[in-house]
Amino acid sequence: MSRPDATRLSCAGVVAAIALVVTPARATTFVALTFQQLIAQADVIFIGDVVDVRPYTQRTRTGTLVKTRVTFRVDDALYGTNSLVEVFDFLGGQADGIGMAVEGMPKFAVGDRRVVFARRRASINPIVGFTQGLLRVGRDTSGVERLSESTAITLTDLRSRIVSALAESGKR
Amino acid sequence: MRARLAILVVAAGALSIAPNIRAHWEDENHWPAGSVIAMQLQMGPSPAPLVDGNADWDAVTEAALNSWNAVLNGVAFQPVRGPAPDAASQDGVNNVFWGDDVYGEPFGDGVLALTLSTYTVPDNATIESDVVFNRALAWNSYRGDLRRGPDGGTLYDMQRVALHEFGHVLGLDHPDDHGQIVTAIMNSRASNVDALQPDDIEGVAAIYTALSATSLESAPVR
Repeated sequence: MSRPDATRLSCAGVVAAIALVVTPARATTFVALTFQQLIAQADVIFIGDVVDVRPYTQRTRTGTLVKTRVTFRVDDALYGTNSLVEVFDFLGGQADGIGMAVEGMPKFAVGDRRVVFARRRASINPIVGFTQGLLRVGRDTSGVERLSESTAITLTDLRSRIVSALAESGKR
Repeated sequence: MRARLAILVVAAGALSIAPNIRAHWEDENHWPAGSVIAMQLQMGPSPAPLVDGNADWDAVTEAALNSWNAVLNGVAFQPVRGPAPDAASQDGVNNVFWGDDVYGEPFGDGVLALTLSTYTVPDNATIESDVVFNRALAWNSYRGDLRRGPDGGTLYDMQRVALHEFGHVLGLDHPDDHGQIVTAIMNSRASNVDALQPDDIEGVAAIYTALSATSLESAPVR
């Protein structure tokens, strides 16, 4: 570490706070990830708004599953995407009179604004670290966007930290 | 620097404690009052002796079910051993089994085990819960602090993870996913907690005591 102490302390504060937001990780029992691991494992990182949530059933060789397809409008593409929308499927949801619940699976509603760290590879949940790579964004009374789970962190702070971490990891 | 970082973490943690006095967290779907929840144990023999002396994986999961039964009121688990058809989603059986995936869907990184519950809409009555353990990870059965496996990673304790997953079967969620800081087997991450905690027990009591108008004797096995 070659940066001055003040900078290091500031970065440490942001990382520690982000870690508190993201470590309650996964129906699930899952492995906790660091912020650096979130960055390293993500195929795509963006800030976006949920514009559609659509449950559906899928027949498989081992029974019928309920899944939910979530469509995001990409507002700020930070890594791995140039698309205007990103679409991800999650196991669980309600369709045709049946509900299927995977405990701990993230839930979405149209209008949700999120910072998303996701994988492209198919799985029950494309979010890195189950819920760890999904941060909710809200707006304070002054109109500043902040992480809902830790209002001390502004979206601008987090974005800067992500961009720095991407550069440090060689991904950007 | 390390000390400063630690202080920051502690301070930020203190700030994040929610004022909500309820600790446990419930899912939307529950078993109907009086249910006897038959769990079909399909884990089979372990390739090597287990640290805690259990004879096989099914003995471990059965012990976890019995731990819950000791504190349940209003519903009960019924461990079922023996041959069973291949597990399937919505097959009417509450399967407990090893999986390379979840009914064809990859686990995703870092998932040790998963509970998939099926329920009716709109009354949110659970009709089936399957528990799938990730076969790709290093498992044993032991008490106490988490141990290291032969590859240097964590050696996961089947019994504490089974306790956690069976808590999901009952309708408990992760308290730490809802801003709560509490000692609980139901927290989302495997930890040194290896047994049911007061918060876990209060959680199922809150769900089922209120629903327990029906006697267990007259209830169907599900």
